[in-house]
Amino acid sequence: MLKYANPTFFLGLAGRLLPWLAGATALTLAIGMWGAFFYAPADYQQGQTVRIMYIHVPSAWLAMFCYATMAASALGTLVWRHPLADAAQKAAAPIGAVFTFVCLVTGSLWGKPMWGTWWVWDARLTSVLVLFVIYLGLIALWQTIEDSSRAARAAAILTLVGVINLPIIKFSVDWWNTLHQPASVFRMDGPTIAPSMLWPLLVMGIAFTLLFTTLHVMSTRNEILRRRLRRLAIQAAAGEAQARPAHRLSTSESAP
Amino acid sequence: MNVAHLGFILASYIIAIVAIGGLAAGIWLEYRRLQRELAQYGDAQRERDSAP
Repeated sequence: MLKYANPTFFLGLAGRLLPWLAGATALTLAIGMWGAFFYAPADYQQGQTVRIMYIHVPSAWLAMFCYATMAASALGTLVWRHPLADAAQKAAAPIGAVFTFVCLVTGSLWGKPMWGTWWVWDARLTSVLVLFVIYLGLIALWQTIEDSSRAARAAAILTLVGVINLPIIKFSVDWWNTLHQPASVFRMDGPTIAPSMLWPLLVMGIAFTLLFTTLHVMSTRNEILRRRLRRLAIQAAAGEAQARPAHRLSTSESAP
Repeated sequence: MNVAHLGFILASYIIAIVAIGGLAAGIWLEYRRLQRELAQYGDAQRERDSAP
Protein backbone atom coordinates (compact mmCIF):
# COMPACT_ATOMS: atom_id res chain seq x y z
CA MET A 1 0.00 0.00 0.00
CA LEU A 2 2.77 2.40 1.04
CA LYS A 3 4.61 1.56 -2.20
CA TYR A 4 1.66 2.99 -4.15
CA ALA A 5 1.69 6.08 -1.92
CA ASN A 6 5.24 6.90 -3.02
CA PRO A 7 5.23 10.50 -4.46
CA THR A 8 7.31 9.55 -7.53
CA PHE A 9 5.09 6.52 -8.22
CA PHE A 10 2.04 8.76 -7.75
CA LEU A 11 3.31 11.31 -10.32
CA GLY A 12 3.68 8.56 -12.95
CA LEU A 13 0.29 7.07 -12.10
CA ALA A 14 -1.39 10.51 -12.21
CA GLY A 15 0.00 11.16 -15.70
CA ARG A 16 -1.46 7.88 -16.95
CA LEU A 17 -4.79 8.13 -15.08
CA LEU A 18 -5.76 11.75 -15.65
CA PRO A 19 -6.75 11.56 -19.36
CA TRP A 20 -9.06 8.62 -18.57
CA LEU A 21 -10.49 10.29 -15.48
CA ALA A 22 -11.12 13.55 -17.37
CA GLY A 23 -12.80 11.66 -20.24
CA ALA A 24 -15.01 9.64 -17.88
CA THR A 25 -15.93 12.85 -16.00
CA ALA A 26 -16.90 14.68 -19.22
CA LEU A 27 -18.97 11.72 -20.45
CA THR A 28 -20.88 11.16 -17.20
CA LEU A 29 -21.43 14.92 -16.77
CA ALA A 30 -22.88 15.11 -20.31
CA ILE A 31 -25.21 12.13 -19.66
CA GLY A 32 -26.19 13.52 -16.24
CA MET A 33 -26.94 17.02 -17.59
CA TRP A 34 -28.99 15.53 -20.43
CA GLY A 35 -30.92 13.47 -17.89
CA ALA A 36 -31.39 16.45 -15.58
CA PHE A 37 -32.74 18.75 -18.30
CA PHE A 38 -34.41 16.47 -20.86
CA TYR A 39 -35.23 13.15 -19.20
CA ALA A 40 -36.30 14.06 -15.66
CA PRO A 41 -39.80 15.51 -15.45
CA ALA A 42 -40.71 18.72 -13.64
CA ASP A 43 -41.72 18.16 -10.02
CA TYR A 44 -45.45 18.36 -9.28
CA GLN A 45 -44.82 20.86 -6.47
CA GLN A 46 -41.48 22.52 -7.33
CA GLY A 47 -42.01 22.69 -11.09
CA GLN A 48 -38.85 23.31 -13.14
CA THR A 49 -36.96 24.57 -10.07
CA VAL A 50 -36.28 20.92 -9.20
CA ARG A 51 -33.51 21.03 -11.87
CA ILE A 52 -31.34 22.94 -9.36
CA MET A 53 -31.31 19.73 -7.28
CA TYR A 54 -29.18 17.99 -9.90
CA ILE A 55 -26.21 20.15 -8.99
CA HIS A 56 -27.13 21.06 -5.41
CA VAL A 57 -27.41 17.50 -4.10
CA PRO A 58 -24.20 16.11 -5.73
CA SER A 59 -22.33 19.22 -4.50
CA ALA A 60 -23.55 18.51 -0.97
CA TRP A 61 -22.50 14.84 -1.23
CA LEU A 62 -19.07 15.81 -2.51
CA ALA A 63 -18.62 18.52 0.14
CA MET A 64 -18.96 15.75 2.75
CA PHE A 65 -17.10 13.08 0.76
CA CYS A 66 -14.16 15.45 0.29
CA TYR A 67 -14.02 16.08 4.02
CA ALA A 68 -14.12 12.32 4.71
CA THR A 69 -11.19 11.92 2.28
CA MET A 70 -9.31 14.65 4.14
CA ALA A 71 -10.01 12.92 7.46
CA ALA A 72 -8.58 9.63 6.10
CA SER A 73 -5.51 11.54 4.86
CA ALA A 74 -5.22 13.24 8.28
CA LEU A 75 -5.00 9.80 9.88
CA GLY A 76 -2.27 8.92 7.37
CA THR A 77 -0.40 12.08 8.37
CA LEU A 78 -0.69 11.53 12.12
CA VAL A 79 -0.25 7.73 12.26
CA TRP A 80 2.24 7.02 9.44
CA ARG A 81 3.54 10.58 8.88
CA HIS A 82 3.37 9.87 5.20
CA PRO A 83 4.20 12.94 3.06
CA LEU A 84 1.68 11.99 0.36
CA ALA A 85 -1.13 11.87 2.96
CA ASP A 86 -0.44 15.49 3.92
CA ALA A 87 -0.18 16.54 0.25
CA ALA A 88 -3.49 14.80 -0.52
CA GLN A 89 -5.17 16.44 2.47
CA LYS A 90 -3.88 19.91 1.61
CA ALA A 91 -4.87 19.47 -2.05
CA ALA A 92 -8.43 18.43 -1.16
CA ALA A 93 -9.29 21.46 1.02
CA PRO A 94 -9.87 24.08 -1.75
CA ILE A 95 -11.86 21.53 -3.80
CA GLY A 96 -14.05 20.77 -0.80
CA ALA A 97 -14.50 24.49 -0.13
CA VAL A 98 -15.66 25.06 -3.73
CA PHE A 99 -18.15 22.15 -3.63
CA THR A 100 -19.50 23.43 -0.28
CA PHE A 101 -19.77 26.96 -1.72
CA VAL A 102 -21.70 25.62 -4.75
CA CYS A 103 -23.94 23.62 -2.41
CA LEU A 104 -24.71 26.68 -0.26
CA VAL A 105 -25.30 29.06 -3.20
CA THR A 106 -27.45 26.67 -5.24
CA GLY A 107 -29.40 25.78 -2.10
CA SER A 108 -30.01 29.46 -1.49
CA LEU A 109 -31.08 29.97 -5.12
CA TRP A 110 -33.50 27.06 -4.73
CA GLY A 111 -34.72 28.29 -1.33
CA LYS A 112 -35.78 31.75 -2.47
CA PRO A 113 -38.52 30.62 -4.92
CA MET A 114 -39.48 27.51 -2.88
CA TRP A 115 -39.28 28.67 0.76
CA GLY A 116 -39.57 32.39 0.12
CA THR A 117 -36.19 33.10 1.74
CA TRP A 118 -32.52 32.96 0.74
CA TRP A 119 -31.38 31.64 4.10
CA VAL A 120 -32.65 30.26 7.41
CA TRP A 121 -30.53 29.32 10.41
CA ASP A 122 -31.81 25.77 10.52
CA ALA A 123 -29.59 22.87 11.57
CA ARG A 124 -28.81 21.52 8.06
CA LEU A 125 -27.92 24.90 6.52
CA THR A 126 -25.94 26.03 9.56
CA SER A 127 -23.94 22.79 9.81
CA VAL A 128 -23.03 23.01 6.09
CA LEU A 129 -21.97 26.64 6.63
CA VAL A 130 -19.80 25.42 9.53
CA LEU A 131 -18.24 22.87 7.14
CA PHE A 132 -17.44 25.71 4.71
CA VAL A 133 -15.83 27.73 7.54
CA ILE A 134 -13.77 24.66 8.57
CA TYR A 135 -12.50 24.34 4.98
CA LEU A 136 -11.52 28.04 4.94
CA GLY A 137 -9.89 27.66 8.36
CA LEU A 138 -7.81 24.71 7.17
CA ILE A 139 -6.69 26.58 4.04
CA ALA A 140 -5.73 29.57 6.22
CA LEU A 141 -3.86 27.27 8.64
CA TRP A 142 -1.67 25.86 5.86
CA GLN A 143 -0.99 29.39 4.61
CA THR A 144 -0.15 30.71 8.09
CA ILE A 145 2.29 28.10 9.47
CA GLU A 146 5.59 28.23 7.62
CA ASP A 147 7.01 24.94 8.91
CA SER A 148 5.29 22.39 6.68
CA SER A 149 5.50 19.45 9.13
CA ARG A 150 3.96 21.55 11.94
CA ALA A 151 1.28 22.80 9.56
CA ALA A 152 0.53 19.20 8.52
CA ARG A 153 0.12 18.05 12.13
CA ALA A 154 -2.04 21.03 13.11
CA ALA A 155 -4.24 20.66 10.01
CA ALA A 156 -4.59 16.91 10.56
CA ILE A 157 -5.72 17.45 14.18
CA LEU A 158 -8.17 20.20 13.17
CA THR A 159 -9.52 18.00 10.36
CA LEU A 160 -10.13 15.08 12.72
CA VAL A 161 -11.85 17.36 15.25
CA GLY A 162 -14.06 18.69 12.43
CA VAL A 163 -15.20 15.16 11.47
CA ILE A 164 -17.84 15.46 14.20
CA ASN A 165 -19.65 17.86 11.85
CA LEU A 166 -20.28 15.14 9.19
CA PRO A 167 -22.85 13.08 11.16
CA ILE A 168 -24.36 16.36 12.38
CA ILE A 169 -24.90 17.43 8.73
CA LYS A 170 -26.25 14.01 7.73
CA PHE A 171 -28.65 13.54 10.65
CA SER A 172 -29.50 17.20 11.34
CA VAL A 173 -32.79 16.82 9.45
CA ASP A 174 -33.74 13.86 11.70
CA TRP A 175 -32.47 15.20 15.03
CA TRP A 176 -33.97 18.68 14.74
CA ASN A 177 -37.08 20.21 13.27
CA THR A 178 -35.67 21.83 10.13
CA LEU A 179 -37.05 23.66 7.12
CA HIS A 180 -34.72 21.54 4.97
CA GLN A 181 -36.45 18.37 3.77
CA PRO A 182 -35.34 14.98 5.17
CA ALA A 183 -33.14 12.54 3.21
CA SER A 184 -34.84 11.16 0.11
CA VAL A 185 -32.10 9.04 -1.52
CA PHE A 186 -29.92 7.36 1.15
CA ARG A 187 -32.60 6.01 3.50
CA MET A 188 -32.98 2.72 5.34
CA ASP A 189 -36.30 2.07 3.56
CA GLY A 190 -34.98 3.05 0.10
CA PRO A 191 -35.23 6.22 -2.00
CA THR A 192 -38.51 8.10 -1.96
CA ILE A 193 -38.09 9.94 -5.26
CA ALA A 194 -39.36 8.71 -8.63
CA PRO A 195 -36.88 6.62 -10.68
CA SER A 196 -37.15 9.14 -13.56
CA MET A 197 -35.67 11.75 -11.20
CA LEU A 198 -33.43 9.38 -9.27
CA TRP A 199 -31.23 8.08 -12.07
CA PRO A 200 -30.16 11.50 -13.46
CA LEU A 201 -29.38 12.47 -9.86
CA LEU A 202 -27.27 9.33 -9.35
CA VAL A 203 -25.46 9.87 -12.68
CA MET A 204 -24.70 13.46 -11.62
CA GLY A 205 -23.47 12.07 -8.29
CA ILE A 206 -21.09 9.72 -10.14
CA ALA A 207 -20.01 12.58 -12.46
CA PHE A 208 -19.25 14.86 -9.49
CA THR A 209 -17.33 12.04 -7.76
CA LEU A 210 -15.23 11.55 -10.91
CA LEU A 211 -14.79 15.32 -11.17
CA PHE A 212 -13.58 15.47 -7.58
CA THR A 213 -11.20 12.53 -8.16
CA THR A 214 -9.77 14.22 -11.29
CA LEU A 215 -9.29 17.57 -9.55
CA HIS A 216 -7.86 15.92 -6.44
CA VAL A 217 -5.29 13.91 -8.41
CA MET A 218 -4.31 17.07 -10.36
CA SER A 219 -4.07 19.16 -7.20
CA THR A 220 -2.09 16.51 -5.27
CA ARG A 221 0.33 16.30 -8.21
CA ASN A 222 0.73 20.12 -7.99
CA GLU A 223 1.43 19.88 -4.27
CA ILE A 224 4.15 17.25 -4.82
CA LEU A 225 5.74 19.37 -7.57
CA ARG A 226 5.52 22.50 -5.38
CA ARG A 227 7.42 20.69 -2.58
CA ARG A 228 9.99 19.38 -5.04
CA LEU A 229 10.48 22.93 -6.37
CA ARG A 230 10.87 24.32 -2.83
CA ARG A 231 13.48 21.66 -2.04
CA LEU A 232 15.40 22.53 -5.21
CA ALA A 233 15.26 26.24 -4.36
CA ILE A 234 16.61 25.54 -0.86
CA GLN A 235 19.37 23.34 -2.30
CA ALA A 236 20.28 26.04 -4.83
CA ALA A 237 20.35 28.70 -2.08
CA ALA A 238 22.49 26.44 0.15
CA GLY A 239 24.88 25.84 -2.78
CA GLU A 240 25.24 29.59 -3.33
CA ALA A 241 25.81 30.20 0.41
CA GLN A 242 28.58 27.57 0.44
CA ALA A 243 30.21 29.06 -2.66
CA ARG A 244 30.28 32.62 -1.26
CA PRO A 245 32.59 32.15 1.85
CA ALA A 246 34.98 30.07 -0.29
CA HIS A 247 35.16 32.93 -2.75
CA ARG A 248 35.85 35.42 0.08
CA LEU A 249 38.57 33.14 1.47
CA SER A 250 40.27 32.86 -1.88
CA THR A 251 40.27 36.66 -2.35
CA SER A 252 41.71 37.27 1.18
CA GLU A 253 44.41 34.66 0.59
CA SER A 254 45.52 36.39 -2.60
CA ALA A 255 45.72 39.77 -0.85
CA PRO A 256 49.26 40.98 -0.10
CA MET B 1 -41.81 27.51 -17.38
CA ASN B 2 -41.94 30.32 -14.87
CA VAL B 3 -39.47 32.98 -16.14
CA ALA B 4 -38.49 34.09 -12.64
CA HIS B 5 -37.60 30.52 -11.72
CA LEU B 6 -35.68 30.11 -14.97
CA GLY B 7 -33.37 32.88 -13.71
CA PHE B 8 -32.74 30.95 -10.49
CA ILE B 9 -32.01 27.75 -12.43
CA LEU B 10 -29.63 29.50 -14.86
CA ALA B 11 -27.89 31.37 -12.03
CA SER B 12 -27.34 28.08 -10.16
CA TYR B 13 -25.77 26.34 -13.15
CA ILE B 14 -23.68 29.37 -14.16
CA ILE B 15 -22.31 29.82 -10.62
CA ALA B 16 -21.51 26.10 -10.37
CA ILE B 17 -19.78 26.05 -13.77
CA VAL B 18 -17.79 29.25 -13.04
CA ALA B 19 -16.74 28.11 -9.54
CA ILE B 20 -15.75 24.55 -10.45
CA GLY B 21 -14.40 25.54 -13.90
CA GLY B 22 -12.35 28.33 -12.29
CA LEU B 23 -10.93 25.88 -9.76
CA ALA B 24 -10.02 23.38 -12.50
CA ALA B 25 -8.42 26.12 -14.62
CA GLY B 26 -6.48 27.39 -11.61
CA ILE B 27 -5.15 23.91 -10.85
CA TRP B 28 -4.16 23.38 -14.51
CA LEU B 29 -2.41 26.78 -14.81
CA GLU B 30 -0.56 26.14 -11.55
CA TYR B 31 0.63 22.79 -12.96
CA ARG B 32 1.94 24.53 -16.10
CA ARG B 33 3.76 27.16 -13.97
CA LEU B 34 5.33 24.49 -11.73
CA GLN B 35 6.45 22.49 -14.76
CA ARG B 36 8.07 25.61 -16.26
CA GLU B 37 9.91 26.43 -13.04
CA LEU B 38 11.07 22.82 -12.57
CA ALA B 39 12.30 22.80 -16.17
CA GLN B 40 14.34 25.95 -15.41
CA TYR B 41 15.97 24.19 -12.46
CA GLY B 42 16.64 21.18 -14.69
CA ASP B 43 18.26 23.43 -17.33
CA ALA B 44 20.40 25.17 -14.69
CA GLN B 45 21.46 21.77 -13.31
CA ARG B 46 22.39 20.53 -16.80
CA GLU B 47 24.40 23.75 -17.40
CA ARG B 48 26.29 23.22 -14.11
CA ASP B 49 26.94 19.55 -14.95
CA SER B 50 28.20 20.33 -18.46
CA ALA B 51 30.43 23.22 -17.31
CA PRO B 52 34.18 22.42 -17.73
